[in-house]
Formats: sequence, structure tokens, C-alpha cells
Amino acid sequence: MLLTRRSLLLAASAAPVAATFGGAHAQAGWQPTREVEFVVPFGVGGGADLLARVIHKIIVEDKLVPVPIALNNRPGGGGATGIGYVSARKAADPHTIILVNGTTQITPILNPAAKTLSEVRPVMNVMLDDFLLFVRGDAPWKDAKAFVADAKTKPPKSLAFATGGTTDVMAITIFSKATGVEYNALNFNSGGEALTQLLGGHVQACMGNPLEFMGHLQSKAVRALGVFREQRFTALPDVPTMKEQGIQTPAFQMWRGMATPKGTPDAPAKYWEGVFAKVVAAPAFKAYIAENIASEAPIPGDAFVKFLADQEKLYRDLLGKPA
Amino acid sequence: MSVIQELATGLAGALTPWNMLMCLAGVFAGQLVGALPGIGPSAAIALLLPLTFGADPTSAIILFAGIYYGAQYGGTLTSVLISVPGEPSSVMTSIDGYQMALQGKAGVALGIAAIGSFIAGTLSTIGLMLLAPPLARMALAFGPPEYFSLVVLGLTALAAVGGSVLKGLAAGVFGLLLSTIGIDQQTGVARFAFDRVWLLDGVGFIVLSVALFGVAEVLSSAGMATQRPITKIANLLPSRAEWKQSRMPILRGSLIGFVVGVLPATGATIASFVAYITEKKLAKDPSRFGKGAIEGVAGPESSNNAAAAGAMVPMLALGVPGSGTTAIILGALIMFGIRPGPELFDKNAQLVWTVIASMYIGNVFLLVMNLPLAGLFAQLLRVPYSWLYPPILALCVAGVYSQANSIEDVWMLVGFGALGWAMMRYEWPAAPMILGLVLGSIFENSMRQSMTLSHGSLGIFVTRPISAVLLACALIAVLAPAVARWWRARAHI
Repeated sequence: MLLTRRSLLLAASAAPVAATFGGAHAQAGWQPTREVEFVVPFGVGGGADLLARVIHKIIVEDKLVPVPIALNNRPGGGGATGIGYVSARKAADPHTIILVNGTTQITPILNPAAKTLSEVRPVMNVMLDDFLLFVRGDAPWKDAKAFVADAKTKPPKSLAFATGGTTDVMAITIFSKATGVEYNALNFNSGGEALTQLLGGHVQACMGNPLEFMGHLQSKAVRALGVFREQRFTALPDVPTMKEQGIQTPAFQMWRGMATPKGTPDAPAKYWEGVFAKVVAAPAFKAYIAENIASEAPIPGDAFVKFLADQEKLYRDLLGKPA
Repeated sequence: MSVIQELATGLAGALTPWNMLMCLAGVFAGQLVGALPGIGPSAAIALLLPLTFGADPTSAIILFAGIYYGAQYGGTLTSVLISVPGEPSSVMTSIDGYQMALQGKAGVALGIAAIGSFIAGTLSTIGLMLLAPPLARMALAFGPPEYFSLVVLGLTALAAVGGSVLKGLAAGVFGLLLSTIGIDQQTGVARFAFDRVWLLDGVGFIVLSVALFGVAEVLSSAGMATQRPITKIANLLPSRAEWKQSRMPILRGSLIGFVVGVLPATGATIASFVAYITEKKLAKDPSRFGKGAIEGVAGPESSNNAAAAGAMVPMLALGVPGSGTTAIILGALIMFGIRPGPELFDKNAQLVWTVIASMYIGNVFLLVMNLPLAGLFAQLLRVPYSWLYPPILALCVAGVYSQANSIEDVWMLVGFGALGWAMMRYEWPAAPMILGLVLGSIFENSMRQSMTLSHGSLGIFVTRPISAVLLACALIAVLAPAVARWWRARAHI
């Protein structure tokens, strides 16, 4: 009874995205029989944790799984502590799901002792975060082209960026490579701190996610000069893409997705893929994406694995750490 | 005039039964998490966040702000009673507060902390109300060189905290060294982690402070726990003389706390250090400090509460976080569809003023809750020490484990606890080591950020006026005692 109802619900809610998922719901042969642990390898209150709590809330409130599901924050080491816990205690356990993101992928590139994505089975990407080039509202540059042209007339590293983490640094590297100009990068703990430095005029620019800058963008305290994206945002139609301005950068977005422990069999992996497809389709998730000016990006199973391999190549290239 | 009108509107909003209830719930929860090491106000707010989805944003922010400043009151409790600081900002309180408790004056220490916190909380809320926009601009003037010089000023306190200057400096430098363990913020590469994943984040503040204060205290007293007489509880509320002694420290602490709290990223912790040092420098007899000086409780406690309101300034006036906790409150605002930014005061005036008004009410709640409780909690010390110590150790272990669910942190607690015992045995001060650990990363990062900015020139620290003034203050703090000695010696000749 339960099973039939679930597959029905699944078929109904997955319908709009059925083309992408190509029969993800076909093998509903496995389902959890005891409590599921949802491991968040990041601290309570951060961006990754908030996403995990939204996903958790949707799974619980829409009754997407027939068993209780408990969140477990295991922060530390850029995701390595939490995933280390999974590989030590939950190997191949299909009753464990894990939140993974770009940071977990960067950690082992910089610190080979830390193992992250190699210890999990990626199940589905759920969203992408964008990077924008921001300057102060009273800055002389009206677009990225003018910014680059001005930088070219000055000695290298004359313009300084404040960043909130390694992902922002990579965006600067991309920008620097595409424009042939060297910039100065000052690293801070969070996007908020970087924004404060920009507002105070201590640096000339920031690379950041839209969320933290939105209020200031609307009040014109900061200006967005461009975005590393293929098309303009629907929420920010005035912000041109880098390519439109003749700056040839690859699309650069930070991914966030879900995984199960390494060695999870196919049937449970497919089951979770179906659950996450329903999470992404839920109105609460769409509202979360809209609030964060992020992009909904369900990439399931094998396509996700391939996507991650491409990202890994890009990250290694940007960080100067070839495999 | 308009401020009074705005505040009246705010009060009308804050005095509705529902908002009063949220305020009470907030300060109560804050008090509770403040007292528990390991779980802090940021975690508490993050955990409550999903419950408030769909609720009225104003009530939710009242609740969160209440947790934030309520936690500053709660942190005092464990620092004074069992020498376990629950938050970085209560480390200084535990130095003299715990000594007062041992002398049977726990009630007085808690009482003066509650009164000081109330006065500081109220004064700094007035400051927040009147001065938010200009102060926020001041906060923006702080770039990396200014933070560096501020931290240098803070580090001059290292030598002043303990009895011996040399031991204080050595312990402080050891703390600075500890802060270099883990992922380097500027390059993302791990240092001194020895390929251990659990060392990637370095040594946590909670681990070190609970070990050096809590565990070390229990270990070093364990030998005499059975013979140690149960403390007599002299009086529960501060006497007239004690109140007189604390009056000025409370006012100074409020001012220091509010001003330092406004600066993003430093906040309550540095404020409490600076307040403690100020009191010690100004005291007629500095040798009383560390042995139960009431000013050593009144100053830092007022200052950490004032800093909590100060940290709201950049958040409300600029939309940038002033501390880890306000960063989460900002996140909550976004969740409610309110864009934090420079226009928050204009566009969401009702929300801002209601929250400010609720802070006055919350401080009254906290005073009413804490004054009678001070006496009640002080009774805890009537329990024989041999019974008290095992639960304290359990609380230390549980607190450290709960912050990251990490058993390695517990082993570090054991190791540093043993070190703390040895330090206590040979009279090495613990506070400078913690100060070094807390300030170390801002010290190093702001220095490297400044050098990046200046393309490697040290001149940036003296050519920028605010930075130059702060460095000059640091120089005076170091040289003043020596010059004074020289002056006195010359006068005698």
C-alpha cells in the first residue's frame, strides 16, 4: 500500500523533470527500513548547513521516506572530518546520506591527506551558486570591460579583491587568466567580511555569491559588473555576463549536491536519486533557490559523476595543482 | 525628537504579549546556552531557525537578539562558579570571579555581573539607538592594517594578565603558536596538521579554555577535595562598598565594550580583555587582580554585554555582520525576505526599532531573572567538592564533544587539561595562552592581508592614521610602566 502510493506520488512529482531523469524511479526495489542519518560535514548555521536543513525539512514534511531521518553535523577540515566519519563508520551503508559541495572537492586538492569525494557515491547535484564581480557603488567602472581596461593601464596587482574563501579566489584566477591582468587577493573568513572591506574602500572589488551582496546591490551601495554565467540571471537582468563583454571565461558556478557512502549498491542509490528529485521539485526548495538567487540544477547519478570529474579538472587547473 | 518617536513606535511593537513572550524565551534560552560550554548562541539560533519559518520576522529577530545578549549573562555563571568559561568573552571573568567564589563571594560576583551587564546592556542600546549610522561608518574605516594594530594593542595585555611578565609573555606566545595549526586562511594549505584530518581546523578555543580553566582546576584541587572546607556563603548581594568599587569599572567597561563591539570580527572577546587590562592598570593596588578583585568581574562582564549591542550596529546600520552570531541573524533576515543593507533603518524601520525596544525589555528580564538566581546558584558551592568535581568534569567533556561531535577534541581536552594542571602547579598563567590562541589568527591574517595590500611594505601600518594611533597606544602601554619606574627612581635620587 505504502509502496504503491509512494511510486504514484513519485511519478506525479517527477513528471516535469522526467526527461532529465530518464526513469530514475523505475527501480523502487529498495527502501530504508531503519532510521536514516543525514551527515552534514559542516558546522551548524553556515550556508551548507542551512541547505541541509531545508532538504531535511522537505523530506520530513512531505514524508518522502517512510522512516525517521536525523541530521548529524560533523564539521571540520573543509568537509574532511564529516566524510572521514562516514567512511570509518558508515561504509556502504544505504541508510546514510551526505551533503557535499564544491568545498569538499577543493579540500583534498589542497590537502591530499584529507579524503572527501573519493569516499562517497555522488547521487545528485541539487543547485549551483553563481559568482559576480562587485565594486563599490561610487566606483568609476560601469562594467567589467572598463574595469579591465583601467587595470591594464596600471602596474600589475594595483587593484585588490577581498574574498570570502577559496572558491572566490578561483573566480579571481579565472578572471585574471581571461583578461591577462594580475590582481591582488586578500582572503577573509566569509563573504560578509569581504563585503565590509569593499564598503570601507580598503579593496577595489569583490568576487562573491549574490546572496550576501543583494541588499547592497539594491541600495546601490555596490554595483555588479558581470557574472560568470552562460545567460543573464532572470532575477538580475541588468547584470551582463562576462562573455557578453568580450571576456572569455568558462562558466564558473559552485555546485551543491547529495551523496551516499562509497560502495552503496545501485538500488538504494536509485532510491535516493528519486527522493532528491522530489526535493528539488518541491515548492519549498524553489523558494529557497529564489531567495538565494541561485540556480536549480538537478544532475542525477552518472551525469553528476561526470560533472564532478570536469569540475575537478577545472579546480586543479585553477589552483595550479594538476593531478 | 524623531528618535523618541521611533522608539515609542518600537516599544508599542515590542510590548505586545507575543513579542514579550518571544523576548523572554530568547533571553532564557540565551542564558541557558551561555552557561553550557560547547553550545553557543550561534548554534542555538541556527537550530531554532527552521522553527521560525513562516513566523513574523520581527518576533523571530527579537527571539534571536535575546539569545545573543542573554548568552552573555549565562556565560558568567559557569565562569564564576566552576571556572569553566562558556564563551570566549567570559575567560577574563573566570580569573577573578572564580577566586571570589572560593572566598564565598560567588553571589556577589554573580550579582555585580548581572547589575553591570544590565547597565552596560541598557547604555549600549541607547548608544545603538543614537549613534548607529556614524559608528557604522567608523567600523568601515577598519581595514586589515587597523585590525592588525588593534590586535597588537590587545597583545600588550599578555604580560599584564598574569603575575609574572615573563611567564605571561611565554604563555601568550605559546598560544600564538597554537593558533597557526590548521588550514592557513591565506593559502588554503594545512600547517602543522601532520596529515591528521582532525587537526585541519586547529585547536578550538572551547577545547583550550575548558581544559586550562575547568579541567586543570578540578585536577589541581582533586588532591585536597576531601579536606577542602565548604565555602561559607557570606552575602548574596554586593554591599555598598563593593558597589562603589564597581561603579566606575561598569561604566568604563560599557564604553569599551560598545566601541570595540562595533568593529566587525573582533567584538566581545577583545572588549572583555581590554576592559580587564584597563581596570588592572587603573587600580590603586593591581596585585589584588587574580585574587578576587570585584573590578575584574565588573569591567569585563559589562564590556562583553555592551559589545553584544555594539555588534548589532554594523548589522542594522550597514547590513554586514559584526560577529559570528550576527552573521546568522543576518542570514535569518534574508530567509524572511528582508534584505539586510544600508537601507534597513529606513525601509524596515518598524522591525529595527521594535528589536531595539525589545533589547531594553530583555535586559530588564535578565536582571530580574539573574539577581535572585545569583543567590540560588551560589548555593551550588555548598555541595562538597568531592561531589562537585565529577559532574564538572562530565560537563567539560560533554561540552567539548557536543560542539563538533568529535572524540579527538576530547583527547585534546585531556592533553591540555594535564598541561593546565602543570601550569597551575608551577604558577604559569593560563589566560595569556588563550588570548594568544584567540587573537593569533586575526593577528597573522590581518598582517598578511596588509602586506598583500601594500605590496610588501611595512609602512602601511604607520601611514594610515587609525593604525598609527593604535600602535602608539600599544607602545605607550608597553613603555608607560618602565618610564614610570625610571621617573620614580630619578625622583628618589
